Amino acid sequence: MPPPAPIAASRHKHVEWQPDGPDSQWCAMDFEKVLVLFRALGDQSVDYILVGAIGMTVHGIVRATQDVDLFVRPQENNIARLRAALRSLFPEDASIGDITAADLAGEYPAIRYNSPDGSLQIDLLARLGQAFAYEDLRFEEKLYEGVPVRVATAQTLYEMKKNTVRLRDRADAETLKEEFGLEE
Amino acid sequence: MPIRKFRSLSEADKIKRFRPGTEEFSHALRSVFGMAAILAPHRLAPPGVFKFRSIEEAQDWNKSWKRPTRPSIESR
Repeated sequence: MPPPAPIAASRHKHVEWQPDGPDSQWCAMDFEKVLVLFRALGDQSVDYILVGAIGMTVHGIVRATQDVDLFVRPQENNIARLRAALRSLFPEDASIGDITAADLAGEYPAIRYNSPDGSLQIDLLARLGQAFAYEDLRFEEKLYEGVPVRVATAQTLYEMKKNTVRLRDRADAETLKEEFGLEE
Repeated sequence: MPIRKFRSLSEADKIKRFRPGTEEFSHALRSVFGMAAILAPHRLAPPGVFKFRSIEEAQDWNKSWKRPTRPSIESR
């Protein structure tokens, strides 16, 4: 059975995205823009926890990725601060207003934000199934290229990745376990 | 980044973790992202906000518009 169609809350045409676009429509995540994002999240005092591959790089395990994975506290005032942070990066993007606490706390705990210029793809998560919610994650504040970030602990990253289906995540889990001497 | 010498490739492969805050770490980060941009760029994602009932649903949706790799450099 095909997966249910996602809800496209909005598609504001800052770029003319085409389903089978020309060769010029290739891009890569802008690492410097990632740092700007973390600065903005800090400036707006957003309650977030960085997870995923970028979280691993903060702990020193460097691998490439195409997106930033953030758990966020799904409360209205926090999501308002999150929207403000994103607007500071992409002030022209009206779609940011479609990121709501009601969705994250309710039926849509996973929201993908793709920036208009293709420089950032951000997964905003409020919970992962029944296993993880924002409140369940342990985190620490670390400096990442001089920018403070709230990142899940290595043990938490390991626990999130160890039982997943994707081979890449399981390989990440093995690396974390090996490098940090983690327990099952 | 200073030159590092190893007795074998397997010995080099064991180096997986860098110490954050060091010059070596900064260099590795930018090198990895820079190389990924050259060798494995992704298609421009459909811009905007997209909502999913689970992360698995989001990953399935990604497959619907992503291509795994860019056409080879030679073919362009």
